[in-house]
Amino acid sequence: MANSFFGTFKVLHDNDVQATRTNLHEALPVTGTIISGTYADENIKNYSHGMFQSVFDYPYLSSSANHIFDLTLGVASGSILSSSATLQMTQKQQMYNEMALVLAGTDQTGSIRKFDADGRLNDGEKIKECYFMNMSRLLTKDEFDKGSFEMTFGANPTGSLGSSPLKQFVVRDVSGSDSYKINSPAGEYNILYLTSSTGVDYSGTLVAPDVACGLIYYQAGIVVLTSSLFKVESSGGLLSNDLVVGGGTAGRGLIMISGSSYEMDDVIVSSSISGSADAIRNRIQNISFNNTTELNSTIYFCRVNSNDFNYSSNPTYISSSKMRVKTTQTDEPVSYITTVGLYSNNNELLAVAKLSEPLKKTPSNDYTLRVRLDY
Amino acid sequence: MAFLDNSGDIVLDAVLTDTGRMRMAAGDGSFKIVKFALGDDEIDYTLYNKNHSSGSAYYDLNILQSPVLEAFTNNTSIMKSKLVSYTRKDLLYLPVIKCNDVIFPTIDKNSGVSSTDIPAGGYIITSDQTTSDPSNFTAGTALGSTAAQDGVIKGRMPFANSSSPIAFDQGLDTTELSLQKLQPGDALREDQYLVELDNRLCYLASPDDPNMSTPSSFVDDDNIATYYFSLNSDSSYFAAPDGSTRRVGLYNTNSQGDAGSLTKADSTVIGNSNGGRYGTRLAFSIMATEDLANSTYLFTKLGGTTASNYLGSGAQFYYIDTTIRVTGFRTGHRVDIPLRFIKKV
Repeated sequence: MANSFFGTFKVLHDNDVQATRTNLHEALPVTGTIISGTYADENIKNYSHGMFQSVFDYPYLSSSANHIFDLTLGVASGSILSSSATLQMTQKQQMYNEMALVLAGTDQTGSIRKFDADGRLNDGEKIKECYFMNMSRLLTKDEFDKGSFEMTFGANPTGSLGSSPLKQFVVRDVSGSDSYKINSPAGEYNILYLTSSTGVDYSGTLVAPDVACGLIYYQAGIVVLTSSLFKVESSGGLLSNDLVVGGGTAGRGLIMISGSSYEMDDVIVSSSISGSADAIRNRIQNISFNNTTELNSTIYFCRVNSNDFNYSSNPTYISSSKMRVKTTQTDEPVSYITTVGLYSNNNELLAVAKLSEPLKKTPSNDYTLRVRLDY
Repeated sequence: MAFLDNSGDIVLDAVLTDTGRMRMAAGDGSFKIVKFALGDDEIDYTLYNKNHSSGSAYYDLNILQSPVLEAFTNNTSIMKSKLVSYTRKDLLYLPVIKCNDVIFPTIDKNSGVSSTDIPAGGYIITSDQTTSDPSNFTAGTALGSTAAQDGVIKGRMPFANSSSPIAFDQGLDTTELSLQKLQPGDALREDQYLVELDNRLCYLASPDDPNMSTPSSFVDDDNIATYYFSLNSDSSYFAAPDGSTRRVGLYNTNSQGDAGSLTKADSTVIGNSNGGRYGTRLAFSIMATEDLANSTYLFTKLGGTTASNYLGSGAQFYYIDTTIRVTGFRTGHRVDIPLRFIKKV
């Protein structure tokens, strides 16, 4: 089939088509009141299988609800807490192994690696009891924007959110924008750090600001938080002993479940996965991150030269074949562009772009209309 | 010295049409953009006021204020009128395509038909053998006559014949120009056509032999079939060269003859006996599909039933109203012809 240059179509040549790739970022703040409080947990979905808990941004029975993230607990088989008396231990180990298999992979013997606290995959410290926060694809899109993740937890010893003075600690992807690790089968990841508090009355209560407390897997959209994050130093955790209830090291650390005296190790041993998820979910005060959408575009440079497209086949353009916009042969023809159609060789209209207002075309002007098609 | 205004840089976001998505999903390489066209569907050029009292800056003020619609994703609902490129800037007349209701008159030209419910300029097509057989209807009526009847196309064999091809004339439809032909090579002379129709209802066939179906170029996701005709490669669908006796009549399409050989006797609808520029003439037969012939499903889904004694035939019919669209590939002009498929209840 012949292609017409002068006519209604103009051929796009190789130099008229360019492929580009752009990363789009959206800032996503998730306030803690949505995660716990506002909807009286009607937006929290627990399943009969009990393997994880889903958090929505609205009561999940509503069609308006959007999935935000899933929360679950994993315990490695070598953990000192993996005693037979532990509630749902099989499921907790199953969750750990599943997540570790996907995110950390296997070693040379085919055994599932444990999560490595420093990401070196050597014999160093392993994260053996941890929470997994699997963010919805709706929010993370293609991946977390590196260096943007931040999560704030309440650190009042008894867990009462409104108590004064406010005590908080922040988990942050501190170095993601500068460096990250690539030795995971699930893509790029980095180490999360417990940083100093943003609360004005809480300064100095952390034992060691900027200590590693978990991992963030960018493409997988998964955050791994060590359970030590919720323990005080005297219990082998990362938080200051100042947070021990009753004062001194003899008392218990952060009370993770309101109305009981469970601290984190008690929660891991004695609570179900959903109960464990409740414990830390209620301490989340804020989550914020930027997502990334990798946008692949093809830009078609529709070059409209001075001699191109100055006439129209619009039925109102003529009356008895005579043009309305010209009365003498010396008048310039004129037409108005509102639409760009992109066609196959078979004359099928494959894509279409609209202008915001009519664009006047005469032999005295020319345009290059850059039409972007995103994939 | 001030900066130049570069805010005129135009970047447009395109959306895939439904056909584009279908081609992309096919994954067979059929999604390949190779050309573009510009459209002006929203523009009403009658708003162009060359006599505006405030001067030329106001000629197109109303046009430039025309709101532009968002893109339709249905490929047949957008780009209905395209902008056209001609190297000449001195053109005052542009070609049109008109259904030739002289060669084969439309239903409204049938003196025996008082009302058909379809718009003027259309045709009625019988969809099965029973409806095509004149012996099944009141003798002498539009459907009951053995002779060819104006506006009635026998859409099924063996009653379909070459006496009822639909013809389209192209050219400059004006009496302000002398009677001449548009010569081969003239940019105003259309030599390629696109015909779009509903593939569920009908298909095209040779104007000489309705038994010879025409292959379509493609069928889109909405079952709209597109046929492509080129004067060079499909000359049997164009008016015969001088001296031929084809049913669609002379139009000197392929000849280099002078204007003197053309008269109104060539049954043209372009211009009149004193003026006009004749371009090309396209013709084809329309046949009803097997689905229409052997089932009433599409009739009940897309159409309805006529009153009794429709067309004076003494019978009632299922019907479907549709259109067939003929577009000049190079000149862009298009015409929609209403069609009514009928089937005896």
